[in-house]
Amino acid sequence: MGFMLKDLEYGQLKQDLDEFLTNSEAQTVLLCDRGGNVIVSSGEAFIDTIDMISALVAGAFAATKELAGILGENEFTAIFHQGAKISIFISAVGEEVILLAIFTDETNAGLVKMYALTTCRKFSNLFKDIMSRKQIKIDDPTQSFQLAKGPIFQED
Amino acid sequence: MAVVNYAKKEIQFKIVYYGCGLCGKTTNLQKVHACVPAKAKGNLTSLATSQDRTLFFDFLPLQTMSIEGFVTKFQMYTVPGQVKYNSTRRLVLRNCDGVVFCVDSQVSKTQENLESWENLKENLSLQKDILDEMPHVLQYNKRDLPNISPQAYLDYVLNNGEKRIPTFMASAFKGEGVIETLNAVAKLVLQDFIEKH
Repeated sequence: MGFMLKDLEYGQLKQDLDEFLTNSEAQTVLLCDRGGNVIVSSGEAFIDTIDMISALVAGAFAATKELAGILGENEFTAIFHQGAKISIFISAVGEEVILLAIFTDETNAGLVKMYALTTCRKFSNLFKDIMSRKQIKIDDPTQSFQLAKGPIFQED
Repeated sequence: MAVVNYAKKEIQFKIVYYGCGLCGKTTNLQKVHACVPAKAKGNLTSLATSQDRTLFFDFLPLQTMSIEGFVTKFQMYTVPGQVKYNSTRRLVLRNCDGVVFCVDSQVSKTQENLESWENLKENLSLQKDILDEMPHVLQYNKRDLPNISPQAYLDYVLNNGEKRIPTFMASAFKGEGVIETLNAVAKLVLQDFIEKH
């Protein structure tokens, strides 16, 4: 499933995610699709490795879904990985999106979980709309996709 | 499928290297990681067993400006080739935009290649995708080894449909044909995206 985010939608998601970051006192929070693509993130920590984190989180979530299936559950909608100093909370937003919060021992896991679930509910309806359309109309009529000239990747 | 963010002017694609066990999928990504300029790549992550066999996937993020005005990100994945990891392969294929099918050219590997090829089609169909409708290329790898099948035979076995699949001769171990394969699949993915939007 692909996503096409309008400016307004991105702004709304970013604002809600910023709010979640502040309220939960997490270090970084992000939304990614179940294929591992980052959709929106908030927070500066781990920003250089955000793509990798997203890919691994999507993998971990998918693996636990298989595990849930074996146990007779549809899926585990939330996962909590606890570290000595840093922990992560992962939660499903509908069928296609995952919410992740990375937080330190300076905040409380219960607090993160509570705000995460509230945020997930907020996002759930918005993503239903986003996923139900194939294309979006862009306000700027000159806006279209054009392939740049030359090879895509070159050897160093 | 692609994630398009108009506000950030960013598009993300997912490309998966598929093929039987030990055909060279991980080696391809390792060579890509070694060859591509630092500004265009992130770290290569491998979730492998202690024997260096892929357990879950390898992951390499790449970044270009291939679509004018947009940062274009390619998230490159490999699947575990061993037969027993089929459920993992299905997970990695999720939301993928393009496939490189890596073929082990050794004569003794023909049957395994064929099984993996059929397995790819089957796993895609489970997520309601059809290989013929998805950008994909064939890479005949390990051309530096003795006892390899001629290209014509591999074409006869794997590339025998009405529409010929772009094919690349490679020795990923020596770094030959790796970037060519990558450029071809990336271009197909971009063209497919532009056609559909």
